[in-house]
Amino acid sequence: MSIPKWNQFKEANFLSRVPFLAFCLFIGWFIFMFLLLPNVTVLIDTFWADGQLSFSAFERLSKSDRAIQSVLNSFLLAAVLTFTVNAVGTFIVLVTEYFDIKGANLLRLGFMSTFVFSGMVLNNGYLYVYGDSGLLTKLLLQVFPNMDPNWFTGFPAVVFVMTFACTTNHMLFLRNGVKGLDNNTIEAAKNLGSNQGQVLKDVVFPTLKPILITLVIMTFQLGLGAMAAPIMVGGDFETISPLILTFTQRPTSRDLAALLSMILGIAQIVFLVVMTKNEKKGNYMSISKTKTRVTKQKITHPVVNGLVHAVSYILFFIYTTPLVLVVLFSFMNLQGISQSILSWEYFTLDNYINILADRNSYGPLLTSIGYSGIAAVLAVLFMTLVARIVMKNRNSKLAQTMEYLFYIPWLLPALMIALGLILAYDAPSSLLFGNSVVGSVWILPLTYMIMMLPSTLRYIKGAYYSFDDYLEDASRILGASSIRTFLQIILPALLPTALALVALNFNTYLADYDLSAFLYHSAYPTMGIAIRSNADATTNINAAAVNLVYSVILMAVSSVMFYLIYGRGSQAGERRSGIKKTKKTLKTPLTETEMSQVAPGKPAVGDNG
Amino acid sequence: MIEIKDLQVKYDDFTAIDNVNFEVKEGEFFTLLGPSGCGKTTTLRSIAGFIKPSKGSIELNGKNIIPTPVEKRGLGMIFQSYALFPTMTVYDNIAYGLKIEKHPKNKIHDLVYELAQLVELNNEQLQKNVSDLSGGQQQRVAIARALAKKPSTVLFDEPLSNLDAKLRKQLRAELKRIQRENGMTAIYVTHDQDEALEISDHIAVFNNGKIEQIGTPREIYDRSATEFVCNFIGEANFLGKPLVSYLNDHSPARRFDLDAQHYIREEKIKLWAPEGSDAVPVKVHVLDEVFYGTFTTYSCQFSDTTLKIMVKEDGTAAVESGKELTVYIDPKDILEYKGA
Amino acid sequence: MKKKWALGLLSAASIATLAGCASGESADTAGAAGENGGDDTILVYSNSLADGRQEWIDEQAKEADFDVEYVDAGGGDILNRLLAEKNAPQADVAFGMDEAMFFQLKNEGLLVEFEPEWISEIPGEANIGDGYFHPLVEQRIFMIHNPEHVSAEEAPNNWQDLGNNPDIAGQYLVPNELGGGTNQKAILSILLQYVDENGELGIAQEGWDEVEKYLANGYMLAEGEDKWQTFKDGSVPVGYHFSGGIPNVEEEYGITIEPVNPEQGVVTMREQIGIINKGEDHDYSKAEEFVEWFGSEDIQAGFVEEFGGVPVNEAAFDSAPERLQEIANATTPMDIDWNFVQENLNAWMEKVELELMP
Repeated sequence: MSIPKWNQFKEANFLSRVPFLAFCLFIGWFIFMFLLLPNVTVLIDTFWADGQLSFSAFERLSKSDRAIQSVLNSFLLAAVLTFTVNAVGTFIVLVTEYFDIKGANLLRLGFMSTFVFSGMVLNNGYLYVYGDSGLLTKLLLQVFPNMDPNWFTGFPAVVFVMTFACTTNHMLFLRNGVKGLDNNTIEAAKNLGSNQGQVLKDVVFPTLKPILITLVIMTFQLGLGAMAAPIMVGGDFETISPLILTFTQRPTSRDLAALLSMILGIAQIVFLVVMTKNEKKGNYMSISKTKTRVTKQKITHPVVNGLVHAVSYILFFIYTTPLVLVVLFSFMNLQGISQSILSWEYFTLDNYINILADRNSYGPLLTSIGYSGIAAVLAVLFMTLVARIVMKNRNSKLAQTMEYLFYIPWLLPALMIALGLILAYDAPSSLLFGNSVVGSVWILPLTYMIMMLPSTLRYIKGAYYSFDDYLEDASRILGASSIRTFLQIILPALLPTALALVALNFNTYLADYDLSAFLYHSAYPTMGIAIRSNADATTNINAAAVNLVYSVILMAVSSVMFYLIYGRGSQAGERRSGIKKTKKTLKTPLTETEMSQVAPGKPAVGDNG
Repeated sequence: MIEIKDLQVKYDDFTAIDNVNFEVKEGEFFTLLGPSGCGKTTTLRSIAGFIKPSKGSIELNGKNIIPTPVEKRGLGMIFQSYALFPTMTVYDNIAYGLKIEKHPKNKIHDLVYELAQLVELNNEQLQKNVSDLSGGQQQRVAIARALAKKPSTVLFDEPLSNLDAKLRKQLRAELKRIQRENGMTAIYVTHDQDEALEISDHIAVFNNGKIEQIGTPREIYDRSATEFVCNFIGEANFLGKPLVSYLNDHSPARRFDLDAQHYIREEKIKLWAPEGSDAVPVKVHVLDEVFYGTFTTYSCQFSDTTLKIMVKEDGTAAVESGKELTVYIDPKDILEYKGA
Repeated sequence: MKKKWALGLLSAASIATLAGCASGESADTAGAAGENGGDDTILVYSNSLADGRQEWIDEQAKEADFDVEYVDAGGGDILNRLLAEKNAPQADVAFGMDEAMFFQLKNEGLLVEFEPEWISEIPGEANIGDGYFHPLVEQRIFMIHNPEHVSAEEAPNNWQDLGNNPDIAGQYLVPNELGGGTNQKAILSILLQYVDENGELGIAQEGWDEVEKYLANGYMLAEGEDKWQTFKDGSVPVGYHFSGGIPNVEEEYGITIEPVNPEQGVVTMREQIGIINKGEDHDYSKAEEFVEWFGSEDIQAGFVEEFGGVPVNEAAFDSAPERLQEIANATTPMDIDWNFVQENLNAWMEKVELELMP
């Protein structure tokens, strides 16, 4: 008696007419202005040589064994990481949220370190452990004096580093999903005689399928776009992203960059389409009305239990040792860092003092926080609305096309998207209400936002699968406008995911240099610009040390942001708003224990799952 | 008063409901009854405004409300899934509609407590998180929330179908009480005929996107207009041709068309002939009996027809399985449906 | 009310954005005013502002009554930005990039002619910009070796020796990417010995082969690896570097760096300065004043004293650090047709990256 899914488009209950149409108009304008026109412009500019279209890029590329090998390597890496990252990511989420593991809180903290510890500095950290003068290498050399100190290199090293570095999304989104599982379904399955493995296989994983699909897609993309690990520990194992960056930065090689980038982007989108094909068929709606929180499952088999504990703690050390070493090395002077020796002899606070005492450091930091913060919030708000429309009109060709248009930023390197914006709007444009992007303050956050859209959309969409459509109906019939319904009902329900995305997006662009160099306003240099200025290897002999200190400072800033936005924010989302009222108006106030039972409860449908 | 005229909802080639007409008077409890996929929910959601009909009109007090957006229709609605806002407390759920109307805080507070009392939620439960409540309590919250704005009409979309039988019965009675006490109009969707018969003033029976019959519970039950309604409501015995012929032969009062379909309700078959009736005695073979406490049902055979007979247990009847028995069928109790 | 807090944060941020847009517009207006000459702010684009240079310049500029704003990024980034902003130039003055980049700017019509008085103090052969750009500081890029590990006899005489000597395979540094100027110059040092009109991209096949051998036998640093540590400990005792960086490294690492001066000389590039073309109606007087001031003997002498480097301005040469003067005397500049280089540089680098790098 419920309306068949394919009929929902005809339902009149999506956002009521006028704001809805205005918003659709805005989406159309945005897609045209910021996704289509600039990128078409830049592609024409790139492939248009001497008055005609030139596809010599294909020819030049086909002559290059190096480029072809790099492309193949990228795909190999992506394929392998899809398995390893998801295996490790799922494991660490299960041991911290699903199974009853001793010290789960500590483990969780360690596994969450990748939220802020990533990129070059993470690879640095791994080299402090596994590199030729790394901690582990030195230990191993004592046992096997003949072994090659440069053992940690090539494809295995890249896979190793990235397998642990790329589980951030799991700790954010899969964790939300596991926490939102319905304990009743687990109990029911057990009651029907399932053992723990079968419960995982038959109940837990199927429920988490949409988020797992998203994670597979995102992992594949991380593998394709691998940059830091291949250039730092890859040795002969080269991937395509560093080449794309080099080619992008040279105007005459941009056609190569565009071509390579589109190969990766199209592969990514094809993968997305294939992976999401079956997503539509499934029904992930939570049917249970009264969800109860997952109680941690004790692993009953003693050997398995011991093994899982052991692996968990080994992983914990793999995750945290590099981070600890990076922090420690940031207190070393150049001699200590260049020789990878931790010693009081090399201890110095000068680098910290120099940076923290320099008033000029704080302006760029604030600018970067402002820019990436605004971009992150807007990208998430915007994509929440867009995902709503996409989900409501799952079978409309128009909505599907719209969804795919938002994936355009996956097709081109960030720098080319920025270039496209400049080329398209270097003069005041009536389409931009008389503004021009060149020399403007908002072009940089706008570009950040554009770059954030695809993955944000992807994750928000995943979160909507667990959202009960009737909630929106209920709000509307109680007299709430579509805007109010969105703000008070839909958004809070999606809050854990939305805030995680805000934090994630924020961190991604906090220390951006490539886009900044191209677009920043002279009055507002960003953190990336300031770091380069103070830690440029060609002018500053001490660059490595300064860089390390900046990295640690940025990690600290990111951690604070994560705590404020994601940690506290989503707790607030989980907690409900009733607490203050409890004390004010309730005649019989809740006891302390009852409060604590209320507090950590999860919204029944609020999590992506 | 709500008047549905010639309502049609089409999805591409598929017609979900067609030619739906009915009228709900003020203060009336009106039920849309039918099996899954019959169009009753589509009709209700059209009234709510979630679905735009392709044809027809929905008039609320004489005004066509089809162009009116959902939030301006001023209707209350209770959902099968309750659709409680999971990020809010019980209090906030109930107060939600009131806050939208921008009532002063203390008035909202008073109203919420009044409603809580009405649906029998206590103060402690008000501050709880909706997911900490049981199913029945959640449904009470949903009812309180829908009533908060004192809508003249409340729509119910199978509100009790997720509850266990006992709770369902209890809440059903409460619903009826609340509806009556507040003098509101109710439009109620259900597939449960017992529920429909019990609480409705009028019932519209839906099948295949069309209304088969509208009437009071008694009319629907006693004078089912179509074979579908007869089968869907209550228990009815299908009478085979030999039995119908036999009745034709023995009853001068009424002649039955042998090409039509004939039914009789279980409880209309008697073990004795009421005085002054034209009841025809029929000798049947008792196959089985089931004792229910207040009544007993017997399965009996006549030619190719199996008759279920319901007898009130007053200690007078003593029927043994495997024995012959004479039952009495009054031809006026037989429902005859001609055509397909 | 915690949820409200989060929502409040979101909406506050949105409002902040709107405000940001608004202030963006006002900043635009200010920029426009600058273009019209109502504002005396000079916007300088440069890759030579890092490590306190910007602060030093700014201090001097304030004393000289200039109001300067800066865009600071890598050389390639600045060039890209200038090229991208071609239709709406923002910068007034650009300096620090080499002659190849400035030739590109000039050919794109991005520079205006201006002859500062100090060109009389510049050697004629160094001033190749046809009046559109002028040299400030000179950098020489040459092979180096660590005399502690490689004696003068063992040291290579020319770049080609490296690729052809199996004894030092894997022990000399080669570029791991060709985005940076110094890395490019290493390749140029070989290619420019084989200029041949009939060869591919103007280079004889032999030149390409030599580059390939050079790269194949060399050692590529991993990102983050310390170049000077490997140079010091003898694992990679041969490499290349630019002159300006030598004194600092020698001091910091306590090593001696020996330059190699091959017969054809060493690639010598000069950081240039030029005024950006902002249309015929634009008032260039402030920009011209700035160039006049910045290239003057006093400022250049002060700059190299503070940050190292060899000024092209002969009057300021003596201010250069002693070690740099030594190096300048120990090497001879190679004769290079920079216009030819500029025309082909990008294609050369792309070919090396695609086909010759291992």
